[in-house]
Amino acid sequence: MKNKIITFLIFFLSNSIYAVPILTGEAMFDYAHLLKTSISDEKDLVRSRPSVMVNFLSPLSTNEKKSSSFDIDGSFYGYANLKEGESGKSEFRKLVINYKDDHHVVNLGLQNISWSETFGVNIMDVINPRDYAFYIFDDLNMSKIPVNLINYQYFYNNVSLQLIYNPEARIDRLAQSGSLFDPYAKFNIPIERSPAPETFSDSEYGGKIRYLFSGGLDLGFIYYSHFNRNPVIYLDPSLNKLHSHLEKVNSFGQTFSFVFKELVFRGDYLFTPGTPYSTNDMKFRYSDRHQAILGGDYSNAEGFSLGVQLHMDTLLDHQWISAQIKNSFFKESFRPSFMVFSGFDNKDLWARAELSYYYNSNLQITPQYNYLSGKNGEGVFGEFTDKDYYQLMVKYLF
Amino acid sequence: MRLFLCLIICIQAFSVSSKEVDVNTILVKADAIRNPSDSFFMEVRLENKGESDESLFEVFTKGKDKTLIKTIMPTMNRGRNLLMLEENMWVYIPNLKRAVRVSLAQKLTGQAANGDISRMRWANDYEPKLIGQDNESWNLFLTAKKKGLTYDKIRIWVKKNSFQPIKAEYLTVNEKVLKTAQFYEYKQIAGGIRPTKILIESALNKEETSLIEIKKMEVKDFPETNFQKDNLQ
Repeated sequence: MKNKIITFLIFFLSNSIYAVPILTGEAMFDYAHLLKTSISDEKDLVRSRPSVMVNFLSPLSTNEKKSSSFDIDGSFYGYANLKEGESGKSEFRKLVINYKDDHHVVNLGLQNISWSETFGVNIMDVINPRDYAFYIFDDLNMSKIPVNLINYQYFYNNVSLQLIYNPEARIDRLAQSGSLFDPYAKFNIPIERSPAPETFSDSEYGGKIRYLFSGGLDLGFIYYSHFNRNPVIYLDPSLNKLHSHLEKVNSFGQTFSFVFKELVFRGDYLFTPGTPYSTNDMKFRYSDRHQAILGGDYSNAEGFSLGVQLHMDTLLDHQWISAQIKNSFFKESFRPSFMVFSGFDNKDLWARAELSYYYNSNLQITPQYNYLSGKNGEGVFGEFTDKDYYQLMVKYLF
Repeated sequence: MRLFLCLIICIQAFSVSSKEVDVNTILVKADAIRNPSDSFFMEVRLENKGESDESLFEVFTKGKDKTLIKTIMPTMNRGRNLLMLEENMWVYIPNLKRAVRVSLAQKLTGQAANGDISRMRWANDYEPKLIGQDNESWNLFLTAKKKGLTYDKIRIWVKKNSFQPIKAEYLTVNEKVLKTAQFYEYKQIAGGIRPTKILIESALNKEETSLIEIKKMEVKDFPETNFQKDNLQ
């Protein structure tokens, strides 16, 4: 990591002689407290974390006649952990060389790709693995792990075509074995890990094609060949061992959005045939997986918005409904929001109340309260039976 | 002598017909005052009355219906960039790191609607009708030709000698005045004399005003790829 940073700094500073880079960012302090849960061995979980994110953009060359340009942009993120026994981390969240002309865009390097039209779970974002080490405390965007990609896009009128190649497949980052967030700690037996994907020979690839119809319907189709990001952990009863299993799967999906006056309708559908998974009693199985999210939201010029989404997943065999309401008051300095995610046919419930207060244009204070509840073996919040946590974020934008 | 009289009559007839300018031409020429070219860049400052914070936007326009508005200030909204393609709009949400489809009701700030900055051409969007004139100006009534525009109807006043827009009244479908706009501080900018300030006033509350100031304007070409949702960041 140190070498990567030094190499980048030399490159960035030498280029800065020719072009003034744009630097922005935020410094944040984040305190989160989850009351005791079964996954944490009946201990409270606390995170106390100062962090800094620096974003930069520096032009490398511009050809105004051909309307083409090269630039480099990125984000560097680092945090310290004030809680005893936990270390900090620093990493590039983005480091990309971009080329664009009238019809072509090429992005080379470390990046996140978002294909979802709906909010929250982002089922279509199949390219980046997730970091579940602190999964309930991290916002969904920060839990995405950036990967090195060749990302090519072609645009012609209302059509866009995107091709992605990832030579270095990566899997989800799970909680350290035996740590507070480790869901398999209760088995108290070692996990036999499957070998990690190899660079180039286990590469991932796919793309998206999108068309914006003249009536306003925005339709997209995706395909991606990738590893099952979350390794399947299953029990081998004869050897009394836990195994983790990785294999390549193919995902096919469709996205859409459509606007009617103040209403926006959006949807995502993802089909992954032959998805490996483990049952509640840790047996290894395959199943065709269908995931879909259908939503609509209303917003007005005064900053009020109300959104509702329906979610379904055939692998988990459950449906959920979520709703979010937002508003802003006192010239946008108070921005409250309330979100609820509830199971239709299961006991999952996640309710979140948040109030962002902007003391001035740079300083933001956001207290947040979450209530989580579920039934073990059902839905996705089984381990949080009647638990709540609160989080306080103080952010300074520069 | 007879030939001379004929010539005078012809010249007079020509000068009269040149004064009766076609209403569409008035609108096209008024558009040309506010838009220096098909593709141009603007740096726009926006100030709402009674608020200490001002907003700063970079506006990239290409063709008749492609606009990208980058929010530079206030810092709390920085990166909330808007892309408008015809009647479709997306906003980039920095926290989510992606572009989200939104309805046209979303506004920039204060009394200024997105359309006040992004759609500065009337001729393409509205059907004009001359409803009055005096020695100084024409008064035109504009009716929207398509759905999804910021305003359904507009009444505008255009200077006769220069085609400079002086004032506009933005109306509802029922022709009730929503807002008024005054175009002033005409200066040499981007190769022409153009208004550098637009004062927008709410018809309901005269205290609610927004001042749009064009700080910089340049004729410039941009890649088509800048105006794509998948490239918005």
